[in-house]
Amino acid sequence: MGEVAGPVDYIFYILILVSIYAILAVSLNLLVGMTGLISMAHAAFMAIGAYTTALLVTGTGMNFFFTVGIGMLIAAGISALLALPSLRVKGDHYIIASFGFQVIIISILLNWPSLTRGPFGIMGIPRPRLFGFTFASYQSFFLLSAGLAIVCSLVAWRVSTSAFGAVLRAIREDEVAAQSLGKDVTRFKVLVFVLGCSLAAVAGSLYASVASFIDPFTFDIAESIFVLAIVIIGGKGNVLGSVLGAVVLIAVPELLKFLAVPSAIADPLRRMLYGMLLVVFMRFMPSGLLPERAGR
Amino acid sequence: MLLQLAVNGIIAGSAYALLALGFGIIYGTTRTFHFAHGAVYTLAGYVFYHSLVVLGLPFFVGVAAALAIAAGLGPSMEQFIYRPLRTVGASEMEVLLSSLGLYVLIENLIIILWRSDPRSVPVAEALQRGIQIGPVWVTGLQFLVLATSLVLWGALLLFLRRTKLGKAIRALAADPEMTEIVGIDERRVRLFVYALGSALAGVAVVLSAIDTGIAPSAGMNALLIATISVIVGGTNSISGGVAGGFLIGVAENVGIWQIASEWKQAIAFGLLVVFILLRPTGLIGPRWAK
Repeated sequence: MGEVAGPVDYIFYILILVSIYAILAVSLNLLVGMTGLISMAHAAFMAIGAYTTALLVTGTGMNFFFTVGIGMLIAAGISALLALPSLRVKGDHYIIASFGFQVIIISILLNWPSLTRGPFGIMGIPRPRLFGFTFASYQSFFLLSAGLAIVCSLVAWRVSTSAFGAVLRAIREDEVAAQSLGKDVTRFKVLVFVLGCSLAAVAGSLYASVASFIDPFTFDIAESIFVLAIVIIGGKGNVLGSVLGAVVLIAVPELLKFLAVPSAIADPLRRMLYGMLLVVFMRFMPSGLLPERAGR
Repeated sequence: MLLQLAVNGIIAGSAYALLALGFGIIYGTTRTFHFAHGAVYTLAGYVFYHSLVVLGLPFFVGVAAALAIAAGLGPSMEQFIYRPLRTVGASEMEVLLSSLGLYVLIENLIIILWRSDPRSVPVAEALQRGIQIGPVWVTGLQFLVLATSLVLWGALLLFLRRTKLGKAIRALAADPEMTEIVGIDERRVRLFVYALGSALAGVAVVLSAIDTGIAPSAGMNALLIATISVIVGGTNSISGGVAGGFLIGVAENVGIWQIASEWKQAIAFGLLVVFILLRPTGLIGPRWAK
């Protein structure tokens, strides 16, 4: 992490994290909420964006904003490669396949040290620059990350209200019926998968830039499950729900820091909390904090 | 060299087969994607570690404690989490997510209780000593793993085919509604299946803890192997997962001959993709009900 000095920086740092996780949740919601595809590989696509930015910015000095685009393209390419075989299968098999991608992508990051520096990670990732202005302070970086979060949310909202979104929901409700209406179900699934995964790469690029250090463990399976929990607790199929979910699941556990909980315990405690929330929500509030509106 | 790798592969495969037996009997019978099975596995492993290393209890007491915790925890999840969810009409996806939540909850409870660094369980060094058979080296522990898996597989097959309860389990797997109509107590059978599958996970984790120790992430890795084995082998029969486990074990270990060992997991996953593409029903097709 960059040095956090004082309470204002700290608050903005949390807000930056909220906007990064909002991007992740909103994009995963396209798959989970709208299409009914549970993906456990979202952190891996975040990793692709993060590593693309980290390697290009530190290695070639390329501008951050170009690296975001390249990261999205790489994530899109890899997700298309993965989606084509695996989206043919249904339900549980697909979840396992995505679980597998997560493991594979992290194992590539760990075991290809000549490119990724393996378990040591990449240090000294600079803050983005645009027309001579550097997003160096937490306040200015927050404007950038919030701006991108809003753009991603608008994209997701636009998709969900479009005819494309209606087909996705039809696939979720009844895949066979959608097929019998002449919809190429696999093509729609691949398209939404590619879109969701390339947006996850944007979150990764932002993360690399604000944290200034990344390693493969940052993006492990627990991270994928965390994003999934944000989507479910926020509300499947509701764009604002995912944003609210990110606020609740990022900001609330920060309160643990004020309860003088030792730091070795704070992290697993935070995870226990969202595991418990997942169980409780499934039982008592399965459509989440902000349910998908009927008829939309 | 290749022969040694093949033997290592068969032994690793037998450990995977054991994982697949435990996960497979639950998944094949209840069709619940019991993610938290991974947490049952890890917790049983830590109970075993705690009994032996921290409390200094005898080996068999430790094994009994691990099996008891597993066989108690699995059915409790069915009774107190999954069944109420089904009663309120939750979708399969919601049950799965709830199971995932349970997994996260227990894994992190384990981290709080035992910290996140791996622990080893030093028992009977004789087990680790190698014996040379022709050109191949095998340790006593490897023999134990292979024998345990094969015996439990055989016992499970006999149990499912010969006993009344075993037949009820197969009936539930084939047709849950019909099972109730013919008067089988579906609730009891399910609880029993969870206890059985979880106890098998307990056996698997004890063997694995003796060999390589235990860490909080052990259950996630075990679950990944078990699910890949079950899918590669075929979800419709208990032997499918066993076949899948052996295939993955051999492929991973023979793969080391050509590819660096860090890529083991990638090999297992590659196999999964090949099967999903070419043979989605798995090695052994749908014939559980026979």
